[in-house]
Parts: sequence; structure tokens; C-alpha cells
Amino acid sequence: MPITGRYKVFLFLALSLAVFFLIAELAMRLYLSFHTIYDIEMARYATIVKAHASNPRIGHVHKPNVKTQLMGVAVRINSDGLRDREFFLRKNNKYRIIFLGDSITFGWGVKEEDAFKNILEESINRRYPVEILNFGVGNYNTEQEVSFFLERGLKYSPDKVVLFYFINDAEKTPRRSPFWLLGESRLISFYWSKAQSLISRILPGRTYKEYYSGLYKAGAEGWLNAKKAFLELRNTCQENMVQLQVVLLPELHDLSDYPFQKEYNEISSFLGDNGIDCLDLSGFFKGYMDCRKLWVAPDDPHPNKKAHELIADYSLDFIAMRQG
Amino acid sequence: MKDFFSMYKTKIVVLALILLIITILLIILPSGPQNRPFVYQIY
Repeated sequence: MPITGRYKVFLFLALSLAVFFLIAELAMRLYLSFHTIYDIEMARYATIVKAHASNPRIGHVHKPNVKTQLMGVAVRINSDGLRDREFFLRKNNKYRIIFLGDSITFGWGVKEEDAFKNILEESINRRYPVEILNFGVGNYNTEQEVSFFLERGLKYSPDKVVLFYFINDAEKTPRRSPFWLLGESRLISFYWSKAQSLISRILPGRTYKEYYSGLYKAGAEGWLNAKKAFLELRNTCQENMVQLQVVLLPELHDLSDYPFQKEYNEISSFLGDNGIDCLDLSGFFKGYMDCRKLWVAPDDPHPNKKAHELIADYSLDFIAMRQG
Repeated sequence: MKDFFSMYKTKIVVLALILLIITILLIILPSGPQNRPFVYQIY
């Protein structure tokens, strides 16, 4: 069958792309067996570990009993979807604390034993018997953290809940991308990542400073939802005689001249005005000029092992404090 | 169809190789400081 005109061009381009895709996808997978690329690891996290949640206020949860490697470290999920060991629902004689949070609390990019949850559990255990449950799930906002706690955390009858808040927790609740299957391709994830970096450089309002500050503009839906969720959590904790604390985690791009002090002051004021105990850690990190020494990788500003140690050190006395 | 393949075989391989080289360069060349917020491809 003779092929003519533009069909010839189309077929030429399609075949070239198919050959390229096949070779590049295989080459990328080979490269990734020796290296990590942050965005590809996040796409792997979403496809291997996360599952859709029936509750739209939660959005996604961890699949139970998953074991994998992410950012070069082992990740295991217990039977209740937590990156933690197994816990009995019935409390023993230990004081029980639940940590709520996002990927930072989850311990993204650090070994389970190096995450601040484990460091704090060990340190507080030197003062009194305690067990801490890690309810951190990547990409959660405050509304999701609170909803997840109401659905899965209350049954553990905690004595205390500590919510670790990060600047992007005022985002709107994310929905799974309709193109999630594309996350299975390492090559597509790689080009998506490069496109995001380019967009943040050339389009206005897309740098981390502009984006995060924009979440707190007057009337921003995500921040309003976060405030409602804080109040819902406070009321639930009061009804169940559970102590509630919030720790504000620093953003690690610029600690010498912290760009989000105004936003963190606003969050602290809101929490204080509503009777919620709060500790802002950003001030403790001010001496660190070379922030990237605290990053998991040059392309991943999540806190690394050192930063987790600092978070644990700076919040130890606050979290170890017991009410009454 | 046979004519098409015999004519375009080399061109298809060359274009695929060019795209491959661009990808390798994107991996190797430093991309500068990460200045973007946490954004996610799937969730």
C-alpha cells in the first residue's frame, strides 16, 4: 500500500518517537537502578505505595503491607497503612502519641530509624515509657491529616496528637491525576519533572516563594479548609481528653532570611487564638546558611537525616511535655 | 509500506538517536538550584 503526503510525515515521526521511547525507557530504568531522581521516586511512591481512598476528604492512603525502596531507602508499610511497626489497638502502660503530617513526618528519603518520629520516641522513652505512631502520609494537607486521624487514629486511643505542619499544608485536597498511568513510565516522569523545573523558572508566580505565599492569600480555599480542620481536630481531642500540639516545620530553601515568617506568624496566631499549643521551629534553624546540606538530595529539599535530628532535638521538650 | 521503510529507516533511527542524546544531556547537565515548590505528577 503506497503511503503519501502528510501520512508519510506522521508515520515517520510516530515511528521515530516509538523507537526513541522504547530505548530511552529501558535506558532510564537501567540508570535508575544506580541513581535516584526525586520526581520519578515520587511517581513510584504514588503508583507502588498509595491507593485511592473512598473518603474524598482523605483522597489517598497507603496500601497495607507494602515493602519497597524509595529514594534509595527501604520503606515498609504496616497492616494499617502506616510507615511504622505494628501496634495493638489496646493500649499498654505506655503513653501513646500519634504524629500527623505529610511526607516530612513520613520520613521521605530517610531510613525509618533516622526519621524524627523514631528519634523522638527513643529520646522520650528515656524520660517515661512512650510509643509514637507515625501517621505521616506523603502529599497530605491538614484536612487530609485530620480526616485520616478521625477515620483511623482515634481507635488507637492516643493520649496526645502532634500535628507537624508544613507551609504547603494549606493546599487544596489533591485528586489523583487522570493521567496517573503515565506515572508508570520513568521517561515520562523524567520529562514531566524537567518541564516543572522549566515552568518555575520562566512563568511568573511559579517559584516556591510565590507559590507557598499564595496559599495564604485572603480567602484562599485551602487555608480556610486547613483552619476548619484544625478546629475540628481540637474539638475532637477535647471531647476525647486527648492533648493536642502543633509543630511548624521549616521550609528548607532559605533559612537565613526565612521567606515565610509572615505566614508562620499568621498560622501561630490562629492556633494560639483557638487554644492550640504550637511550636514554630523555623527560628531554631536560622543559623544554617547552607540549607542544601539539610536536603535529602540536590533535587529534593525534604529534610535529610541531619535535619530530622535537628527537628527532633528542637521539639523534644515541647513534645515530651504532658498535660496535667 | 516496504518502500516507506526502505526510504525512512535511517531517518527514523537518526531522529530517535537525536532525542536520546537530548535526554542524556538533560540527565547529565546540572539543572541548577531547585527553585520550585513540591508539586506532584500523580497526586
